[in-house]
Amino acid sequence: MIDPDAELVRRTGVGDKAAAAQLVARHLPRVLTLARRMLGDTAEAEDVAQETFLKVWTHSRRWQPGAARFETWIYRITLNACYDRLRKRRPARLDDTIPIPDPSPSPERIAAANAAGLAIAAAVQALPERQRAAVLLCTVEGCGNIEAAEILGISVEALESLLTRGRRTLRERLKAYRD
Amino acid sequence: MAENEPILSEAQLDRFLASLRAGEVAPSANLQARVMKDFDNAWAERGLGPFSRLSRAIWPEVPIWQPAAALVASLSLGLAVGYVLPSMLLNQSGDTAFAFEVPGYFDLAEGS
Repeated sequence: MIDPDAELVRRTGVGDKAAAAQLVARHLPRVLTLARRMLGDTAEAEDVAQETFLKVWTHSRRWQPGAARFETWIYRITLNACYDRLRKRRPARLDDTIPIPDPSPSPERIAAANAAGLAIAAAVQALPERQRAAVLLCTVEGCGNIEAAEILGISVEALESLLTRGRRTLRERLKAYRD
Repeated sequence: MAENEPILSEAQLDRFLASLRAGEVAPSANLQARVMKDFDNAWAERGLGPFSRLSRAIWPEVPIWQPAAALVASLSLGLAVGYVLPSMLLNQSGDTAFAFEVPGYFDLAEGS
């Protein structure tokens, strides 16, 4: 398994600022996007992204290439930081707090208003956190099942179960937008 | 009735989810600067000795001379008190002797 980031992480671990900047350029947008999709809040997502990279800077010297790909590792740090923040939030059911657009309007009107785009984002946001992470990693971030399972720290079977439940919920919630 | 409608097909859900891929969030210049500043700080911290790291942990975000001065001041105070207090107690030994002369019991009937 060749990790395209291994050399950059090694150089970062010995204080190479240019290598650190390259890692930031390569991974910060995806880390930020994943955190934004998990948390639904840009400011919090920025804090998570900063926290994630701080962990990278602190642990880069001890990072072992070959154990896991850097991308897998950084996604795992990001998701754990997101889970921590979600746990600290007021205990409310996300389904109740995040408005999903009214499914009653006609399909034409929905298409015109680009409501489906908003609806899918809101429906993903409303999934339970583990299902949300599984759907985002596999379907949006383009991770394979093995990599996504590794990031989530679960078996591939458990990941598939999360994906099945998450997708079923999404199909149910978005049925008003079907062709 | 919405409840009776068939649910979305897998293929259409995939199309919907694919539309999310386009919306990658671009990090602000401020965030990038914060992240790189953290790198500088983390690297600067690695060069510190154990005392400096301990003092940073106990008393973060201050110049190193402040915890060092606090440590020196508390040590000096402790040494001074340790040196002066025993001799003061020895000098006052005559005054304090009465404390040991108080009887260890009380006679409740004595005052009546």
